Amino acid sequence: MAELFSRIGAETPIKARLKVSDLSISRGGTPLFAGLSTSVSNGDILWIQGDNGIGKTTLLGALAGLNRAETGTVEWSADNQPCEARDICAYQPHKSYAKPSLTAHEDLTFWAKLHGTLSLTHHALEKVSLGPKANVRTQHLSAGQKRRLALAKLIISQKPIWIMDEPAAALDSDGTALIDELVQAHIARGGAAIIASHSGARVLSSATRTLTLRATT
Amino acid sequence: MMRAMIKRDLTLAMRSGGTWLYGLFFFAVFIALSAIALGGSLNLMRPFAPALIWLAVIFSAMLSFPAIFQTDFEDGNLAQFKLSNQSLLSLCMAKAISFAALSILPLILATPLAALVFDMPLQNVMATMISLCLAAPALAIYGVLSSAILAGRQGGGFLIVLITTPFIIPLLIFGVEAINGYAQSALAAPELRVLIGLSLISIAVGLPAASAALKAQLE
Repeated sequence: MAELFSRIGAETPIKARLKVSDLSISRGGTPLFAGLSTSVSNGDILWIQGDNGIGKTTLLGALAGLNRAETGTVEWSADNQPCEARDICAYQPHKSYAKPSLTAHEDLTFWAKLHGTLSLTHHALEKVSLGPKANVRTQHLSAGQKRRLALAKLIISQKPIWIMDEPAAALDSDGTALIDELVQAHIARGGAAIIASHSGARVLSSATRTLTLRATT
Repeated sequence: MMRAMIKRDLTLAMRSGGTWLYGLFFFAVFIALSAIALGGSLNLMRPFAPALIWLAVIFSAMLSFPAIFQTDFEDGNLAQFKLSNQSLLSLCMAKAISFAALSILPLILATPLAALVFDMPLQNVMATMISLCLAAPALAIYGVLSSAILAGRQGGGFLIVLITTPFIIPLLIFGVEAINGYAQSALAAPELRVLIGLSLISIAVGLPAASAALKAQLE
């Protein structure tokens, strides 16, 4: 594992920080929760827990800069300079975004070209145990294998903050162990992770925190 | 990056089971129905032929407009694209190029076959193909723009017709007029220059507008 990451990114990740102040989220006009303040920087793991429909996915979208917060602010900074979400965040949505008619290798290669990390595709595929499935079209992959492909895309993105929406859904116990291993290695080299999960938080590093969302009453 | 995007879109189209050819079928059906509606008399149809081909190309292209960003929006690829460090402007340009290659180029290549139906003189066939080629960039970019504005909205297909029609009217006017202009002054016809101008305007204005629309769409 360490060998993989040393191959992947020799340079230390930038000092990244994501700061949330007094954020409230609503969906379809109904307020879900309000007054959320927290921050995540290098080395942190933040688990986000909460009942179905509490707005975990909407919150992650706001953290990744994909939708705007109702009130409150989300600020991203790299090396203490304000930056855009895309400079420091990689987002793994709940749903697979692999193109069904591309092979796993082609799909990953496309994103690697966009991120400028083409040399990592092979290792990333091996790491998530998709090596033998590299030339299978993603429509023929199982749900769990698509999750693994999404994990490979996190690796090749080379972004310091991983934002993951229910990464363990549809994964077997090996897959869950793989997530833990990848996240731990990512933290060890100075990355951070924000993970939404309703299956319970696992302590993967000394800086693990859990945020439980409750509905505004 | 643009190369990777175009290559991916072309690969996806080739593996889509021929859906990218629907526009071409529509084009053929439109031409055939027009010939039937005009009674099949060659002398009657010949003067209308360039206009009918132009209409067939425009309607066929419009049919494919909504698809430009729709699937990428729905399956989350557009959101991921926003998180990569690539500019939306180059994404729009890549989309315009692959749209022109997949949905407009086959129609231009099919024009001589349509010309056979109408018994068009060779000079008019040439003129129609040249005017279509010069207008192709504008047509593709207005498609990208309208699709960017409407990605993820319900009933986008109908609104796309409303949004793009005003942009396409000048193309149609000068495109059809260029056939007469070509007969008189060949490639020096002023209508052809206007078409080039319209295409250049669409590059200068339409592409930035499309990327701004995408940006707003994703927030």
